[in-house]
Amino acid sequence: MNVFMRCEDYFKKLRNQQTMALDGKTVAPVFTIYPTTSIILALEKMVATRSHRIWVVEDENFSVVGVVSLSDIIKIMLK
Amino acid sequence: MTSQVESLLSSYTAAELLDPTSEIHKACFSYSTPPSNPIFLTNSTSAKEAATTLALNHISSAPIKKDGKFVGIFDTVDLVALALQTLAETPMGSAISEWGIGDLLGQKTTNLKPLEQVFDGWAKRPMAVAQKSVSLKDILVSFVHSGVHRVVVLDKDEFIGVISQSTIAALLVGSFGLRKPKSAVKWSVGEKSVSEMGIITTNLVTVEPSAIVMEALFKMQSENCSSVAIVEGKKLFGCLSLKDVTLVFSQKNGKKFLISLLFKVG
Repeated sequence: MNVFMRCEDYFKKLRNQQTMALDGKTVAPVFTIYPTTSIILALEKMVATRSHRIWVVEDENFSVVGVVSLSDIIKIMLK
Repeated sequence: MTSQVESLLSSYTAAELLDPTSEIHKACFSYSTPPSNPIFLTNSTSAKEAATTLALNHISSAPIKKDGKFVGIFDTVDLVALALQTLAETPMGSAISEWGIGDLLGQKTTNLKPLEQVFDGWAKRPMAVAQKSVSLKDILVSFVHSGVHRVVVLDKDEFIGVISQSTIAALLVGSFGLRKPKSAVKWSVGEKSVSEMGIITTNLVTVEPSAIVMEALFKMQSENCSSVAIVEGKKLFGCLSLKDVTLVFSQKNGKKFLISLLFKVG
């Protein structure tokens, strides 16, 4: 893997490599939510995938409409 | 009225969260592997060593100590900035794709000098330091009001660890998420949708699937963001973050790494 690969190919290889890196334990690379997804579930997915953001799609065709970041959720934690 | 999160976080200190024998530590790090030893850099660490430390330890940041005080945080944004600077000045050749981060940064002699002489990005970034006795609620307040993403925790002058936004997130998931104890209270705000709370950012930074990873890196740097969506039309194909890209910098020849995992014994 290197930074001169196509993003598409790099992404596929990365996800495969991350799955193998956990001694074969399956990691579901789920990185999308819907606008109606609860904040706690969005947070749960971010923690599970060890990412700082999660992409918002509006349908099963993965039409992307936005992103929710961990910082955005942090800001409302005291409400 | 005190929120459920505030009540939870007020009950614990930074020291308790970082103590591997405490229940709150176990609840928090049931989702991930906690760092074994806190890692920090000094102002005399070279840029190459700083970047290599992050990449090889699979950490996203390390605080920098100077004259006994913590003065900044070096993170993946800085690692990528150094890498892009070096790449821009390095002649293209067939070996470049085989380099790990140490090889890459070693191409430029200034990267062998102390960090503070070649790079000051970390010094411009706000940072927070707290004593181990502060409550996790105060840590959260730092995140909300100061805009920092992590807090360096000290026991007087001794560095004992870092609490990041991700750490607090893992704690909340353990307390209010799908695997919460049956007796646990609900987090009322957490039950609301992301749309209802108005926290969806719609102005996205994207690349096409055919773009090369270098383009994605430059875009993240120019747009001052840490991730891009890989989009074809409106369809989300995937995503890449700075952390994803620095993964390749931790490996020399990624193919060998993958093969070694497939044939791992034991």
